[in-house]
Amino acid sequence: MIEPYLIGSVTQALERARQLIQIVQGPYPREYDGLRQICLTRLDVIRRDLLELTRESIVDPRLQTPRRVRHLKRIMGQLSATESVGVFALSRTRSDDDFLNRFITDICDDIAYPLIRPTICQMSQDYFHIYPDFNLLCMPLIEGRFLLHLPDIYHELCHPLHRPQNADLPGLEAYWSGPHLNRT
Amino acid sequence: MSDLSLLTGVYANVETYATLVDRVIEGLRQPAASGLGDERAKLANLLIDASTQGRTSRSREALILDSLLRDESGQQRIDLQALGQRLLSGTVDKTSQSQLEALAEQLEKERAEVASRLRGR
Repeated sequence: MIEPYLIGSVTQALERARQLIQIVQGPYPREYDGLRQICLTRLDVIRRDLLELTRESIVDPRLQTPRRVRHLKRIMGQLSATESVGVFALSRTRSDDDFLNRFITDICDDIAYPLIRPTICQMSQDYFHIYPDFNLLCMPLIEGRFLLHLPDIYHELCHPLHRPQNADLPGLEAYWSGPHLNRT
Repeated sequence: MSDLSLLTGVYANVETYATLVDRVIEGLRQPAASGLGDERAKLANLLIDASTQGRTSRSREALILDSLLRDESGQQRIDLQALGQRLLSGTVDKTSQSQLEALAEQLEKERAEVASRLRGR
């Protein structure tokens, strides 16, 4: 009984991914190219993993089905995050965000930011935060009209420096050996 | 200015461990699984390292896995050292398979919990 449900869920998830890709493929200012590429890559991986589930031969459901359900849940987690974070940010781009994206490009140039600059979106329902997996910096809806919290952008820019994937980048050696950090 | 980066990092770790355990479970089901695959060796060593909270190997991944697998009272549900040794030696019996399944279920619960915290921010 679970296997037919699982296949039904996979079919629906594949259609969901297909429609999300269409949204990502829409016209956006070039400042969003990075976020779009991240979303497309994630959606491609999601589609590949979903198709793998549909192609797997079921020999022993007692052993295979629990693992397949766990796998589907992980894929759905990725799909949900891609939809609710990355594609959502793209789907509600507006001129305020365009200004901020040009602004953060200037900031990154100014401080010689050693990584790909993040995309900015004013979709935060809380405060400044960054989604490292999407390289997406979120700010409250009208935060771009104020400058008082500008230092928080700099704070958020530092989170990607601490991602394990970036730990051994040559461009960060000076950062890690700097006197501001005590790594002992 | 939030715990988002921390939570997404934890989520990625849980997902990586859960995927690894499921791949090992699937590998054990295959008829040609008599040899010690890379993923089985990786999981075995990770479990052995986790049994010492990563102190022996100075492994951050092992320390995180150890903390993820403890119950509410802080006790390990499974003898990680013994399970890791059995995976390394290739003597994976029914008990070991059940323990791997329990590990996978525990990690799935942790993944769902972290996902819920990420959504509820």
